[in-house]
Amino acid sequence: MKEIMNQVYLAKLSDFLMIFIGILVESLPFVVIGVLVSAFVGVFIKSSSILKYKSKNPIVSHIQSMAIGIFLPVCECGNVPLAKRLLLIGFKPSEVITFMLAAPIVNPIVWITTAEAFNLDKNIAIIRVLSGALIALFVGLFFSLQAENSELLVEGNQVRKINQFSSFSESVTEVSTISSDQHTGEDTRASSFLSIFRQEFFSVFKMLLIGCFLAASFQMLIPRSSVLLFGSDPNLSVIALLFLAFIISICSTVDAFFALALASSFSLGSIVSFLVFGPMIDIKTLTMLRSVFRTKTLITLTIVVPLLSAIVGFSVNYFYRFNY
Amino acid sequence: MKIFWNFLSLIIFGSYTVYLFAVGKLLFFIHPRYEWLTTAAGLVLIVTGILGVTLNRKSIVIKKTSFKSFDFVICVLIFCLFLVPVKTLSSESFSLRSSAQSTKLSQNQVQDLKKKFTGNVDSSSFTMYDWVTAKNLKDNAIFNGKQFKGSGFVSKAGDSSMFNVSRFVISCCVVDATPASLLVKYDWENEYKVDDWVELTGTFEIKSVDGKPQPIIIPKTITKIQQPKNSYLNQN
Repeated sequence: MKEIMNQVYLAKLSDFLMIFIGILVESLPFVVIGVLVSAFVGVFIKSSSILKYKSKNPIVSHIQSMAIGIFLPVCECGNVPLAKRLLLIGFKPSEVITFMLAAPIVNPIVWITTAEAFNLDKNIAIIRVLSGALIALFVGLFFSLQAENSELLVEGNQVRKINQFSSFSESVTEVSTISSDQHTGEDTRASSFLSIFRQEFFSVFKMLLIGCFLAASFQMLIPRSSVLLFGSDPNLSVIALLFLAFIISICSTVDAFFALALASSFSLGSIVSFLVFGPMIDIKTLTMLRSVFRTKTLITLTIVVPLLSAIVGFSVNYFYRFNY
Repeated sequence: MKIFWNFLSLIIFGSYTVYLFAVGKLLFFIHPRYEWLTTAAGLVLIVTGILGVTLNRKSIVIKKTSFKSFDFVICVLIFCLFLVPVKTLSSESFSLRSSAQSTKLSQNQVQDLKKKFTGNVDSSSFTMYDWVTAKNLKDNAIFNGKQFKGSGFVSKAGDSSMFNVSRFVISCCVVDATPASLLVKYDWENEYKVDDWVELTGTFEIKSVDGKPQPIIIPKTITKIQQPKNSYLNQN
C-alpha cells in the first residue's frame, strides 16, 4: 500500500515538473522574441522617432498603444518585455496597460487561429477581438484617470525613478544611467544590446519561473472536472471558464483550439469570456507583470478585467440564448 | 558577477532546450509546430550568453559572496533541469484532466470523418487520433467491425476486465493536454501496469458499458512497447 502511495506521489511530482518545464519551454520563444524586439528598439531606434507619432489626445494615444499589438505576433509572455520598453520610450503606464491587455488578442495570429478553430461560427473571432480591444481600451483609460500615472508602477521601476525628475520621454541611454549594473565607458551598440537583453530577459524570466510554478501547482491541485461541472449553467459556466482561463495560463495563439474542446459542454458566452480573459490575465502573466506594475495595480486589473469579460460572456449568452 | 551568472544561465537554459531537441524529447512538452521555434530560441540564448560572457570577461571576478546571490541560485536551478527525467504526463493527470465532454466538430470535420469512416474501408491505416476524433461523432456504427491498430498507455477503466488505451491530445503544450482513450476488453492487471505503453491490434465491437452501448476493442495482439518519441496526439 505504502509503495503504491509512493508511486502515486512520484507520478504527481513527475507530472508537476513536466507541466512546469512545459510552460517554461513553450513560453521561451515568445519571451525571446519580445526581448529581442525590445533590445532592438532600445539600441537602434530613438524614442523621439516613435513618440512624434503618438497623439496627445488620451483616447487616440490609448488606441495607438492598442494598435501596436497588431504588428507584434507574440503571445502575452512576449509582450511583457515590450511593455517595459514602451514605458522606457515614454508611453504612459495606462497606455502600456492597454497595450498589454490588447496585444495578445488583436494580433493577427490570434485572429487566424480563432477563426480557424471556430469555423463553425466566424462571429466568435470577431466578438473576441472587438470585445478584447474594447476592454483593453476601457481599462487603460480607467487607469489614466489616476492623477499620478507612474504610481501604477512597481517601486524602484526605472521609469518611475525618471518620472520623479523629468517627463516620461527619456531615451534609453538616459534610463541606463540609472541601471545598477550597466556598462560604462566604451559601450558599443553590441554590448548595449546584450546588456538590455540580459536585464530584460531575467526580469521577466524570474517572474516566469514563479508563474510556471503556480500554474503547474494549480493544474495538479484542481481537477479539471470540478470546473467543467458548471458547464450546463449559462451564468456559472462563464465564471467557471474565467477561473479555468486564470489557472491554465495557455498561450493566446492556440487557446482557441483548447476552447473548442469545451464548446460542446459550455455556453457560447463562457467560451467567449474564456478567449477574452485568458490572454489578458492569468497566473503566469500576472507574476511576470509584477516586475513592472505595483501589486495594487495588478489587483485592480485582476478584478476589473474578469468583471468586464464576464459582462461580455453574459451579453453573448443573452443575445444568442442557446448552448453552443 | 550578477552579469556572469545571468549570461551563464542563458547558456545553460539555451543548451537545455537544444539538448531536448537533439535527444528528441522536446515533443514531450510542446506541439511539433513549436519545435523549431523553441530550438531557435534556445540557440539565441546560447549565442547571447557566449557573447555576453566574452564581452564582459574583463569585469568578471568570481568572489565567494557571489555564490550566495539569487542569480547564482537561478543558474543552479536551471542546471537542475538536466537532472529531471523527461516523461509524458502519467495516468494521475489522466484522472485530473478527464471529463465527460466531447470536442465540437466543424461541418467540414464531420464530413471528412464520415467520408473516411463510412463504408468498406481499410481502417488499419487509421491513426489513434483518427479514432479518438471519430468518437466525437457519437455514432457507434462507424466503429463496429473495424480493424484497430494503435498504441497508447494503459489506464484504468472501472473493473479489471477492461482498460483504456490512452493518449493525451495537445494543441499547444502539456498545459492543455486533454485525455483521450479507447476501451479495450482484456483482463490486464496480471500482465500490465498502469502507465505501461502498449501497441495493440484488434477489432471494434459495440458492447454495453454501464448501460450504454460503446465501441470496445477486442484485442488480437497486445505488445508492450517503449514510450514513443512523440507520445501526444497533436491537434492540428
